[in-house]
Amino acid sequence: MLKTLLPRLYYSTFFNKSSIGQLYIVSEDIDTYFCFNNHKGFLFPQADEQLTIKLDVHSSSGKKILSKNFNLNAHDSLSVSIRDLLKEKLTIGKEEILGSIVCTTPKTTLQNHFYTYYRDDKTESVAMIHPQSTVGRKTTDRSWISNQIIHTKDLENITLYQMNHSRGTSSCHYYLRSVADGSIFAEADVSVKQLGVTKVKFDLTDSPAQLCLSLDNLLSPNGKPLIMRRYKNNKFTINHG
Amino acid sequence: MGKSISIQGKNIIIFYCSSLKTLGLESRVSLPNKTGENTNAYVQVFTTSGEFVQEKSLDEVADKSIIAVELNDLYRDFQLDSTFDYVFLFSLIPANYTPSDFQDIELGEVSRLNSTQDFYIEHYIESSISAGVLYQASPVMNNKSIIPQFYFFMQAPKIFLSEHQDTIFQFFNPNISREPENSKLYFFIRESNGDILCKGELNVSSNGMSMLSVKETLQNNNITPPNGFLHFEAFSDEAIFITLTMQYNKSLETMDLEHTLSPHYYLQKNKMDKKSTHSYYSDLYNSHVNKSV
Repeated sequence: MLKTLLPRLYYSTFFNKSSIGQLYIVSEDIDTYFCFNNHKGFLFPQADEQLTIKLDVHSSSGKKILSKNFNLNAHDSLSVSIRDLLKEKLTIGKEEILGSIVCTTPKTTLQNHFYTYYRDDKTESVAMIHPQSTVGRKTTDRSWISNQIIHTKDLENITLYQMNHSRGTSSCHYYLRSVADGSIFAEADVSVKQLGVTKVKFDLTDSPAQLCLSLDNLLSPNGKPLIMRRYKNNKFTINHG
Repeated sequence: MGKSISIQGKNIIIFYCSSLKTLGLESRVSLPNKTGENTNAYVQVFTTSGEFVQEKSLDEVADKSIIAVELNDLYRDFQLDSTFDYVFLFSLIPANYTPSDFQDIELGEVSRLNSTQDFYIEHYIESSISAGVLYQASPVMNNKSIIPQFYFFMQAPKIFLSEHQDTIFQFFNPNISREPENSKLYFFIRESNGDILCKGELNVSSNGMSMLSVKETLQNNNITPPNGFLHFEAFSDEAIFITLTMQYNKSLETMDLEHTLSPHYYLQKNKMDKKSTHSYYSDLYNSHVNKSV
């Protein structure tokens, strides 16, 4: 009894149910912007209420790096450069720095579905993605098959970025299968710490024309990996799997 | 027994999307089937002003399988004008249904069938780049016999502008009844401090699609588009719209596509007074005067 109750108490204290997470990618070239607004002020405009939003930035191993509060008036919005925030703590070079951002609003206001905006300064490649999962939930123990076909004709490679929104370290096994015959083109294991992020790159030389991604253990409800398509012209797009 | 609706087979499991020839893009869709039964794919084509054009059966999509459809193939098959955009209403028809016969089906089953998978639209430039997004639709959307009054609210700091990059919103007005109807939405483009840069309105026909270029909208209001992020708000009491946001840099050929979340994602427990919120924004809209017009 105690064994099952303690983790529940710990996680309900540590994690607010309205905490939502998404991963960031930062390098000399790529920045991630945390884009949010006063959603309560929009949905209940008569109240004209301020909203305080807390942002926690975690490393790729899930360790908290920094924490910052933002106050917004009713129709305010903000887009915050994660690279600028990290510059105070880390040296940023060519290598990608990965990690997670967790957004928490006061319990009464429920969830702020912020957007993450990824941008490459050199190629002006862009991607905007909504958050997918609240943090601190159990792993699903469910397999998952993507609903999108990856057309490989113009692609150099794809990179899967995986955040772990769930409690504790979790693992999964990726499969890239040919849509035509179901054969496995490539596969890989990843293990991700709580609130951590990892990535795995698949070279697409000699790949089938159409691939479909699947995995054996979805790390959290809707906790699908982000798929970065890197094209032969070096531009990229990212979407959630 | 839950509440049922009478519905044609071709309108049970649906997905609205469009081509974007007017932006110089090619398009393809992924149609997965996770319903637990075999289905046949079907497509209905409409103009962007919602006029029905043609329809036909496509390939079988067996349970746990996925197919790709190139919209260029449908342009060829239907002899569509390649300089125009069209709305494509794809569907998966369960094997025991015909496309046109009406059958009663429980709303719960309709919801289950439409929520078991997303569908994927991907726009691309040959030998360059593509961008796609997964989302769902439902035949219940804008069905007044089930939901008599619709409220639509959209919010997000989703606009990013640079010298060459525009943010373009696509609004679809799903309506499987094919009733010709024009629904209006109203919007504000705001700066990050909440100040309204400009307001505007947009008509979206039933089964049609309307686009809103943020740069063009600002320029039409004699406002020089600033570089960086802006905030967008929209509202309507005439229809529910499927909304996609495209970041598009035509000069450098970079782009992105994302869908929008409805208010219930933000407010799962708090009951929102939609009528009152809509009244607030209507009053604000009517009282605001665009500075430069």
